[in-house]
Order: sequence, then structure tokens, then C-alpha cells
Amino acid sequence: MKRALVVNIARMGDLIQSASLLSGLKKHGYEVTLLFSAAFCKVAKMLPDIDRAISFPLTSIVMPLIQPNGRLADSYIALKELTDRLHSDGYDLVVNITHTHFSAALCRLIDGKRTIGMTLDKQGQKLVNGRWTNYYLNANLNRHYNRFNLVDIHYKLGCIIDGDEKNVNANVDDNANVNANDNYNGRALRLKVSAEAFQKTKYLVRNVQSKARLIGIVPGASTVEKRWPAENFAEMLKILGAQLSIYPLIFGAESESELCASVAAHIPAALNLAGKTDLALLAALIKQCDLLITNDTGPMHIAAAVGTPVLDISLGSAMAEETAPYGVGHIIVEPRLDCFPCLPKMRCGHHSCHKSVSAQFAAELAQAMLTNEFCDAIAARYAIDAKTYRTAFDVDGFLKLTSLFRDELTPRAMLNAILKEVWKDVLDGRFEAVKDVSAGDIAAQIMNEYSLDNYGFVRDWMLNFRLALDELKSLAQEGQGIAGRLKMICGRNGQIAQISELGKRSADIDADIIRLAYKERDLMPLATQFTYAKDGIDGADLHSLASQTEQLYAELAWNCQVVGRLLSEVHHKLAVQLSSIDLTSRDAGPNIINPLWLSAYK
Amino acid sequence: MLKKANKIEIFPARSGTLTMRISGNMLHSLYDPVKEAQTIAKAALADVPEEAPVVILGLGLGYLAQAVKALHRGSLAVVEADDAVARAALSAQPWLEHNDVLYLAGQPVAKVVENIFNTLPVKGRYYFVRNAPSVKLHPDYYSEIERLLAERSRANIERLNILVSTPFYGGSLPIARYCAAALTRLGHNVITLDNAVFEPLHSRIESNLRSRHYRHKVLNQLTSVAADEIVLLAEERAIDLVFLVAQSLITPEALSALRQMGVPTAFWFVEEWQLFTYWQEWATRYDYFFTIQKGEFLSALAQRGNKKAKYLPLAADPFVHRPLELSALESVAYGSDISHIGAGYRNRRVVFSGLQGFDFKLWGNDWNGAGALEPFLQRNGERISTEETVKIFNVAKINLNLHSSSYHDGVNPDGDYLNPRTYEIAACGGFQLVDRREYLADQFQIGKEIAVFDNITELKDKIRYYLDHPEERLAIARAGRQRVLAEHTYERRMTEALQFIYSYETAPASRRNPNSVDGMLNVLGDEPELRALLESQRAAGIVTVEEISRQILSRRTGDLTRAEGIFLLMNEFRLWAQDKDLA
Repeated sequence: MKRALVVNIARMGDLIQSASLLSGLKKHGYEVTLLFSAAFCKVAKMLPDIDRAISFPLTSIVMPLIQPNGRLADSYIALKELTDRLHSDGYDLVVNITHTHFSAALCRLIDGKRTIGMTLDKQGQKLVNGRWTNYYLNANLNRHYNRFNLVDIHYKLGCIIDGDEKNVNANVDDNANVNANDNYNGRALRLKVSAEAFQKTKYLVRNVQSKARLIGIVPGASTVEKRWPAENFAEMLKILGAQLSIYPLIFGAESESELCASVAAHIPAALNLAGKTDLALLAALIKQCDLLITNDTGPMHIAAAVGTPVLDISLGSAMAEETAPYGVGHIIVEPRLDCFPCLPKMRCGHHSCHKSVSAQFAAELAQAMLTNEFCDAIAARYAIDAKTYRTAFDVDGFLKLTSLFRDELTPRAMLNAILKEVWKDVLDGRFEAVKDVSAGDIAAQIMNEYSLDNYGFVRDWMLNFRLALDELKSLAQEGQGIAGRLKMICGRNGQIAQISELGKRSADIDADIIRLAYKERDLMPLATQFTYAKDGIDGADLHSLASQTEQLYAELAWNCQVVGRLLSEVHHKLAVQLSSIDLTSRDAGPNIINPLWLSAYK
Repeated sequence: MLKKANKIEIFPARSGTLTMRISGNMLHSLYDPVKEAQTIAKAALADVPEEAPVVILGLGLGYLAQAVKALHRGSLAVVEADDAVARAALSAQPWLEHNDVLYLAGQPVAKVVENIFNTLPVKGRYYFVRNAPSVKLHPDYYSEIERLLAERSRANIERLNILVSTPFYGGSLPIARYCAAALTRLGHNVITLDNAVFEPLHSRIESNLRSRHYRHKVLNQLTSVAADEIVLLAEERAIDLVFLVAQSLITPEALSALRQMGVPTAFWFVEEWQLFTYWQEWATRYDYFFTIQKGEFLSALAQRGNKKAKYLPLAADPFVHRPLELSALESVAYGSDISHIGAGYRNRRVVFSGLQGFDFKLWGNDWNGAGALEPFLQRNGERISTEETVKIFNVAKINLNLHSSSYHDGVNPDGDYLNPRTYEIAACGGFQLVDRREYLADQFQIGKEIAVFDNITELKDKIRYYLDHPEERLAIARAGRQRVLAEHTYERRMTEALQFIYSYETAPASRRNPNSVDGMLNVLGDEPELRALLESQRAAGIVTVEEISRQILSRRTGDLTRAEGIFLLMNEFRLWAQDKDLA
């Protein structure tokens, strides 16, 4: 049996979000081993579809390195024993979704037959393997251009091997175990809640009158910026409590006791469980809740994985497109502010986003969710301060956030809609398939979600952006030509001068690509994908290096061409749609359609 | 640094091989330089043990180096004072470069010693083979190298991490600095906390705060800061030994912390024990106590509970107090028949007022109300810098050295120890008349290496006598300097101190540090890859993940070994934790 190791030494949320990857690998026929941070033992135990879990003693390895006069030998021995053991296990596939430099160095030592994700080459230089890994790093840098949920990225990162997803699809099991949250493609986020944990928590909720709704509340979060104020939580519960019979459970870590207590102080009926639950009990309790109202936190992912609906108040540096609860029907609220989301390590001085989501708004959403009513009208009422999304799966099985209020179409929204479709194919390595992406579907989706009231602005942007795309494409083609020549001559004698000249020209082109992307920011996702891919070029043989480089330039040129074509086609569909509407009733005027211009792009 | 040779000629000797002449001095035989070199090498190596390190003094055209290399199996270094000679030799003799020989040309003495000591391991001592004509051209340079290497191998103690903390002002400040410099030249890794940086703050506090109580309060805090720095550095850098002198900034708390950490502390009490009695409280707080007085004081220390005490007389730093050639202008400015540099203590005022009528210059501070001495006082009684002091010692015909006393009107009849000035004047090659001291005869041959007076009458007589006999002055001064170089340098004192300390200490403290090279090798066993990696850190003494990773990544050739990979991994964890602020 093939053996796979998933390296996931990160936070609790990441661990839960890797569940679909683990299941995917299992379906690929791998025996799956998980390497995880020892602090999250209880979570690891709940993950289904793993054959073996190895806890990584992060603390005992790191402490000697940072304490004065810590014994380095202890850290060395611990790492040596662990990596020797993992090395001798002889993994066929190592999937690293930790994305830190230490995990790269770790993967070098594990040295599986194949490594996807960050690793080091034999000389100790950083190496990034896999298009989806490049995309993950790309998305970290260009967050505003990412429309993929982390669960999907993790899944794709490990499960797309040589552009082949057939095996997975063939093995989709439609047995009774499949959670309601599972999308039809078989990608699911699932945690096993043990019967024991369930038993232990039952007495906590047995007092609940039959009609009282069990509401989980998570007032904490990893940063202050992400924390909706405790008084808002309290206020929201009061409003909600006046409408429905509710029984709130307040969840939090030991360190968040004070924060949780300050919520509980205002709500006599609430049960403050901060610091009282381990992760297994937490999951059991959350599973019994009718709704979890939370900031962007680990418990939010637990809820998604045990099938409890989530109302996610996504603040600070949280970005719902990346980290929304995975599954159908969760509601996410985001502030409508230019500063949102802030940079992950930023310390905010004003916390305006905390005020953008009012207690009344959250209470109304919660009530609608609990009573199975639509949230759209509520979203529209508060649209001036906040955006509201509902989660669902798109036709390809990717999580998708649908806005509950039709905003005006922006250039970035249009680009992102196209990019998402393009990435779905090219990141899997299916370059031909991308030709079949339907502009009509994208246009229909755009018209469904956005208003075209200010389309003139988008069209003007698109005109400029197409030129920039062409420029990027010709740079890529030039680079492709140079790499091609390099490949041809590198075997011959006496070509050193020419080789170094070509190498220099190639470096100049890369610099131009980056410069162009900074000039035209919307090129950044394409350019970054290319530069990260170049980090993955490995080997000492010049011919192989040159042909890998040639391939990457070709991919960049292809991506530019496909995106350009889709932009034109989508525009065409939208324009046709707009022309069928009576324009005289709009003030946008003749700006919207210029038939002369259109003919040029037919 | 060195006067370069004026003219280098290279031409064939009778035998046909090349020979060399510098400004008229032949460096090799005119007949057969190769045979000459073989003869010298054979004679010089006669009693040299097989594996002993040999230092060849003088490169010339490399014949001696070649001859020694052919005969000797131990490690070799070749020192050439004149960089131009080495360049000429290399261009004339293409065969000269041996990879396994350490060539050092035109480098400062201290650097040569450091390089040799770090490259050529020594068990017993270094052996020297001299190319006599080369040595003759730069005698001081080569003899200094021999002296320092001899001191270094005498100490025969592994390279230590030593922390020296100085006072922030006063007479013991330069002494602490000299100790630090000497320890460095002896090949140790020295961290000097020069607390002179606190002096401006100290003066500000002294002038601003009127209450003595308040001044003390603030100054105590200052002392605590400096003392804490010592303790924390000792922990962070795996210090083997903390060396302090009188008035160094330290607190009892810091000393007990160091003792708890197992870092030995040594204290050189360069003050008079009957006058400054604070040693009583501090005697047992230090592990090792060095004194400039012996006998009664040592028993008093033992009584107080410190038996690890040793008499260690003062000394001179020949790199600071050295012969100088002064310009004509400087000779006028600093020169006189008789000179004295020092503070205006009672006995000096009394004795020197009897020197009316001589060409006398009185330098130094605290001469307020000098009265009859006023006309002799230079620069209104300003403090004189060390650099100027050296010039004055060099150029005065007679340097007076009267040990201070506030309780006598002349020579202190009970005076025993020698002040730094005694050694410093001698090290400069200056001539001095010093008052008779009990220990003087132990340190110098009276009348041959130093001149002495017992009272003011004798002082005046001797001044007249030595002014009339310049050749005797010169002979005594020269002999005095030789004695200092041979026996009274700070290198010698530090060697003695370290020998004393390490007759008690079982191993340097850093070896007990878990992250020392040996400490780690002990735990991590005999993996050859790892051993090589850790051995590469030996010079630093202690292994840091940061440094080892830097080296691994800068090497950039070949594949990573597993040991290297693990260290890179540890470094990434370290950086990650730092980034997360986990420390």
C-alpha cells in the first residue's frame, strides 16, 4: 500500500481544515499518517480517515532553542529521533501544508519519494513543489484575488497528483456516512465526535426546555482585532433572547475566561464554559448546538465539521473567502470598510470593523437562521455597514460565498470570477480543459450576484487591463523563447558566454514581469503564481532547468491568453444582456455600450 | 608599523641559487644559502621534540623554512617582519608556498601571536628557529613574539571565555584594561565591559545631587546595572571566568549569582589593605583574591575565610609603556632633567619642595595650593593622559617615583608594594629614582636595574650624580626595561593568575555549559558528521544554532548532511519562535 504523510504542525483551525485532504488521500488509496502539533492531540483523534497520527513535540523542541542556556542537544536528539523514524518509514508521498520554513527543513529530513509543498533541496535551498502550493503562497500575498477556501486548497494541494483527479472521483462513496455537509464531489470536512464525549456533555444541556435553542458563543479569537466586543455578544443575546427561547453556551480557552465572564455577566441564563472543556468535549457540545455564533476561530471549524450552522462574524485580518466555515448554509458577516481585512500582524488603533456589525444585525441574522428564514432582506437592510454571505458549493464542488445583497460589479469581482474558473483547471495541470470554461456561465453568475449599474467603469478598466495582459503575455513569450534557446545550446561546447547572456536576459524579463505587475496590480496573481513556480525549479542539470523554465513561461503566457479571452467573452455576454435592457431608464447613458468598440472584439 | 627595508637586492650566490641583501645586510650566505640553511636548521632542531610546533623567525628567501620543513614533522609557522621581503621572496621563489606552513608577513606582533596560537596547537612549548640576519634587522619585533608565545604556552590553559569588567574611573581603570589586553594577547576570548562609559553620568550625578545619601542611592543603581550585565552575559556567552579589579562595578548579589552559576570570579585588589578596608566584607564573595601585598594580608584574608588568595604584584603593558622617539618639539614640551607625574600627596609636597634649583617638571592633578612647587607645576595641574605620560617617561632624564603617603613627610618607612609607575617607567626604557620599598629588591636588582633613594638628602645627591652620569642612567634604564619585559608584564601576571585559578578549578566553566562543544559531544556521542560540525565551533567555545546554520548555508557546496539538516531545522524553529515572540 502506498504511504502518505501529511505534515500539519499549525494551529487548530488548520488541522481541522485539513480533514478533507486526509480523506482525499485515503480515497486515493494511501495509508495516511498525520504529523501534527502535540498541543492538538484531541483534535487529531477526531479526524477521520487517518491510519496513524504522530504528534510533533513542538514545545520540547522549541524551548531549548529560545531559553537562555537551554540544552541544544535535547532539541537535536528529539528532532533526530523523530526525523530518523519518519525517514525510515519511507513515505511515497509527503504533503506539507504547514507552509513555514521549519516545515520545509523538516520535509528535507523526512525525504519522502515525492514531496508536495515547501521543502529544501539537497543543498538546503528553499523549494516549493506543486501548483496548488504555489497558489496557496500566491493567495497569501494577494488575498483580495483569492476565491478558494483553505479546505479546498489543502485538498487540491495534496490530492492532485500529475493533474489527475479521476481516482478520487471514481471512489466517491455515497454511503450513509456522508454528512449533509459533503458536497457531491466527495470533499468533506468531518470530525468524529466520540460517544464518550457526547455522554459526558449531555447533562450540561439536559435542563434545556424542549423549545429552547442551544446557542454556542465564541467571544475569543487569536487577535484583539478579530474579536467582536464582548458587550456586542451580550447585547445580541439579549435581543435574541427577547424573540426566542435560547440557552447560550459560552466557549473559550482558559486564557479567555475573563472575556467570556464579561459576556456571561449580562446574560443570567448563559453557561460560561471557558476553560472547562477540552477539545473533544467542545466538539461534542458544539455538535448539540442549534447555532454557533463566533469570530473567525478554531471552534468555528469544529462546528462546520460536526454539521452545526455557523454565524461567522469575520473581523480584523480574517478573510472569509479563505477561512469561511466549510459547508452549506453558514452565514458570514464582514464589515464594509476599506481597511478590511487588515494585515495579519497589524495592530489596529481604531477597531472600526467592530462597530460595523451591530448587535441588532447579528441578532436578526441569528433569529432568521434558527427559524429557517431567508437572511437576504436583513442583509440588505444592513448592507451599508456590512456584507453578508451564505456558503454553498459551486458546480465543481468548491466552496463558494454568495453575497446576500447585490453589490455593484467591480473590476476585481469580474476578474476574480474569471480567475477562479481558470485556476480550477490550470492548477490541476489541465491546460486544454481551460478552453472549455464557459464565458456564458461566468456572465450568468456575475449577473446573478452583482448589479451592472456602473458597468461603464468596469468596461474601461477591462480595456486597459487587456493591454496589460497582452504586455505580460509577450514578456512571457519572450522568456519562453530565451529558455528554449538556452535548452538548445546548453549541451554544446564553448557556449558559456552565450549561456550567461541568455541567463541575464531571462533574469531581466523576470524583473520586468514583476515591475509590470506592480504597475498594473491586477496582474499580480498571475505574476506571483509564476514567480513562486520558479522557486520550485530544482536540479543541477542546465538542460532540465532550462526546459522547466520554458514550461513556466509558457504557462504564464497561456494563463494571460485565457484570462484575456474570457474577459472579452464575458464582457460581450454582459454587454448583450445590458443592450436588451432599456437603457433610457438609466443614467449611465451611452457609456455602457459602445458598438464600435464591441465590433473590434467580436 | 615597521620601518620598511630601504632596498632589497636579490642576486645569485656563488652556488648559483639566489641570495638576498637588504640595505647592505646579507640575509643569506653569499656562497651557498641552501647549505647554510640546512646547517642552521639541523643545529636548531637538535633538541626539538618530533611533533612540537616550530616557529621560524625570518623568512628571507625561504631557505630556512624549506630546510626545517624537510627535517621536522611537527607544525610550522614562518614569521617575517618585513612584508616587502616576503613579497620579494614569493616572486623570486615560486616553490615557496607550502599549504601546511603558516606564513605571517608584516603583521603586528599581537596578530602574529594570535594566529600562531590559534593555528599551531601546543602541548609543551613553541620552539624557535632564527634566521639571525633577519632577527637582527627587527630585534624587538621577533623577541616580542618569542616572549608572548612563551607566555602563552606557559599558561597552557585552553582558550577561555573571560569577562573583564572595569571601574568607571580612577587608577585601577587602566589596570583592568591592561589585564583585558594581556588576556586577549594570551589567546583568550575576552569580553571587556569598559565602564568608563558611565563616567559622564557619574560626574553629572555627583555635580547635580547635593545629598550624599541621594548620590549613593543613584550610584548604587548604576552599579547594579553594570553588575547585572555581567551576570546575564556570563549566562548568555558561557563565560569561564569573571575578572575584576578594585573599584570594578559589582554587587554582592551578582557575585552570588555567578557562584550559583558555577562561574568563578577573580578579584585583583590593587589597593593598600590597611588603608582601604572594604576587602573585609568582600573577601569571601570572590572565589579568587589577588593582592599586591603579601604576608600579613594573605593571612588576614585566610582568617576572613578566603584561602584562595595570592600575591600578584603590579606590572606594565609593554604595548602601551614602550620606548618612543619623540620629535624635537615634543622633547622640549615634555622633557626636563627631573620629572614627576602623579597626584599631590602630602609626602610628595614635602619632598619635592626641596628640589628648588633643578630643571624640574611636576605633572598631574591635586596640587592645589602647591606653594613653593607652583613654578614647577605643568598645565595647571591637569590630568595627564596615558599617551602623554609615556612621552614624559621617555624623555625625562630622571623620572621621580615617590610612593604616595598622606601620613608621612618623606619616604614611607613601612612601604612595601610597588606602584604601577615603577614598572611603567622601566617599560618605557626611562630612568627612575624610586623610594625604597620592601618588595623592591624582589622585583628589580637595585643599582643595576633601578636606582633608589631613602630620604631627601640622598635623593638630591643621586639626582646630581645621575645627571652627571648619563651612560649609567642609560644602562640601568635598559636593564630595567629588560627585567620588566622578562618578568613584570601583565601577560606574566595574568598567566600566574590563571595558573593559580586553574590549580583549583577542575575545568573551565563553559565546558560544563551544556552547549559547549565538549558538552554537546558528550551527549550526542560519536556521529562523525556531527562531530565535524561541532568541532568547527571550537573557537567560539559554545555552540549556537544561529552561527552553525550561518556557516552551513554560506558553504553552499555539496549536499547537506543529516546533522546539518537538523541544525538548519533547529534554526528555523528558533526563528519561528522568535517571530511568534515565544521567548
